[in-house]
Amino acid sequence: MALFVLAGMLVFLVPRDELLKDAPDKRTWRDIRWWGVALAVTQIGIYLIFT
Amino acid sequence: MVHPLDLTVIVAYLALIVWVGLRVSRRVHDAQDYFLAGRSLTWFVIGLSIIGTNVSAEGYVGASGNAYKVGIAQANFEWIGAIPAMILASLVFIPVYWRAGVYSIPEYMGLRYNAAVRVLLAVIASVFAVFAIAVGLWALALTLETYLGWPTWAGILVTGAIVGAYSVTGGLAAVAYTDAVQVLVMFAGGVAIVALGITETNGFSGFATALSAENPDHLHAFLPADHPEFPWPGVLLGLSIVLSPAYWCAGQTILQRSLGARSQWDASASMMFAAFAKTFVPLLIVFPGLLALVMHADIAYPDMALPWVVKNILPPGLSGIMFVAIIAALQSTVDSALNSTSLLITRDIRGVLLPHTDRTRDLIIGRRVAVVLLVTAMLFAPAIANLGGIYVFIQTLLSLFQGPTLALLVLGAFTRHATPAAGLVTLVTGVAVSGTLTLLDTNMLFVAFWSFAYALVCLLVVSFFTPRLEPALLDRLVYRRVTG
Repeated sequence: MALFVLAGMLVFLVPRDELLKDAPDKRTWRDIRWWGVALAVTQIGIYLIFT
Repeated sequence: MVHPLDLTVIVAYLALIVWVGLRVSRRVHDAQDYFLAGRSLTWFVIGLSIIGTNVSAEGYVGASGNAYKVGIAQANFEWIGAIPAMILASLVFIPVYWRAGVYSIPEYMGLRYNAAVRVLLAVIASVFAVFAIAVGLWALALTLETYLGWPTWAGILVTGAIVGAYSVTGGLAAVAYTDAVQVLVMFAGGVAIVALGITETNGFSGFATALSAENPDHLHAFLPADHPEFPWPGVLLGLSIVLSPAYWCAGQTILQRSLGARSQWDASASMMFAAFAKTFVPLLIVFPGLLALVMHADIAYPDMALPWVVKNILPPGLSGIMFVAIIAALQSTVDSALNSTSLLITRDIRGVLLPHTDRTRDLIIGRRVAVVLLVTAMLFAPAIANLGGIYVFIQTLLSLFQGPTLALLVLGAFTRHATPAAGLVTLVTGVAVSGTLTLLDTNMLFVAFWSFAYALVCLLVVSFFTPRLEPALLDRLVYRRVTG
C-alpha cells in the first residue's frame, strides 16, 4: 500500500514541462503524472479489497 | 468437431491479421522504419501492443492454472509486480532512452558502459528469444492440434508463415498494429468469460461467497511468508523491487515499441496506458482459474482450468473468439520476439563486432536475420517437447542477469558515478552471485533481490577506482530534470 502512496506522490517530482515538451498540445489530460496518480489510487483500492 | 461459427471467427481473425500486417508493411523503406516503425506510432497502439507482447500463451494458460491453485495472489504479477515499475518506466526511463536516441536497451547500456556490456546483454537476450519463439510456435501448434485436429507440423508451418508474412516484411509497425488488434480480441474473449461466468455463479457476491467458503485464502493477495511459491516478502522485495523493474524498464521486447513512438510524450503515455490495461489483465488470465474452482471443474491438473472454462462456459462463436484470443496471445509474443531479436543481432551484435559494415544495409540484414530466426525456431519447435530442461536452463540463465542488469541501469541512468569498467565487472560477478544463490536452492525472488543488492554495492565501490565517461556524454545519458 505504501509503495503505491509513494508512487502517487513521487510522480510530481517529474516536471510537467518536461513531459509535455513535444506533446501535440498542452491540455490537462495529457499530463501523464495524473494518469500515474489514477493508477496508484486504483491499485490501493484493489489491495484494500483483497488484503 | 469445430462449430462452423467458431471456424468462421478463426478464419476471419487470421485474414484480418494478415491484411493489417501487409497493409502496414508498405510503409517500410529503411532500418528506422523496420525496427522503430519510422518513429510514427501513437500511444494508444503502443500501449495495446505492450500488453499483447506481455501476455504470453504460457502466461495465459499458466496464470489461470496458478490462480486455480493459489487464488488471487497470482494477480500480484499484474498489479504490484508491474504497475509501479511501469510508472517508473514511463516517467523516468523512457525519457532517458529517448534523449539518448537509441534503438535498443543494450545500445543504451553500451553507450553508458561499454561495448562488451552491450554485446553480452544482446547475446543472452537473443539466445533466449530463439527458444521463446520456438516454444511459442510449438504451443500454437499444440493449440491448433487440440481444437482443430491439425498435425503439429502443419500448425508450425501455417502459423510460422502467417507470423512471418507480416512481421518479416512489416517490422515493428506491422507487429504493433497486429498486436493491438490481438489485444482487443483477447479482452473481448476475457470479458465474455467474466460476464457468462458471473451469470452462472449468481453474480459477483455469489461468486465471491462460493470461492471463499471452500478456499479461504484464494481472495487474499498476500500469502504467508513461508509459502513455497509466493512468500509475501519475496513478492515485495524480489518481484516488485527487482524482477518487475528489470522487465518493464530494461526489457527490449517491451520497450522497443515505445522507442518507435512519434514523440516522447507518446512514448511515455503508451506505458501509462498499458499500465491501465494491465490492471484489468487478471480478468483475462486469473478469473478463469477461479471460475473453474467455483464451478468444481473436473480437471486433472490446474493448467487445464482455462481450456475447461472455454469448453464449458462459452457458446459457439464466443468459444471461437476465446480460441482466437489464445492464438493472439501466442502470435503477439512470437512476432515481438522476432522483431526485437533481429534488431539486437543486426545492430547490437553485428554492428559492434563488425563496426565497418555498411549501415545502410541494416534493413536487408534485419529482414534476413528475422527469416533465419523464424526458420530456425520452426525447425527447432518440434524438439521443444524433448528439450524442456534446456529451455528451463536458458530461462534460469536469463533470470540470473535481471538483478545485476537492473543495478547497472539504475545507477547508470540516475548517477554520473558509475563507470564503464565497473559496469562490466559488476555484470559478470553479479551473474556469478545469482548463479551461486540459485545452486544453493534459494527462492528465485530472493535470488533477484540479493544479486541486485550485491550489484549496487559492487558498482558503487569499483566505480571509485576506475575512470568515468566524458561529462558531455554523461549529460546525454544520465537522467536530469529539465525545466522551462
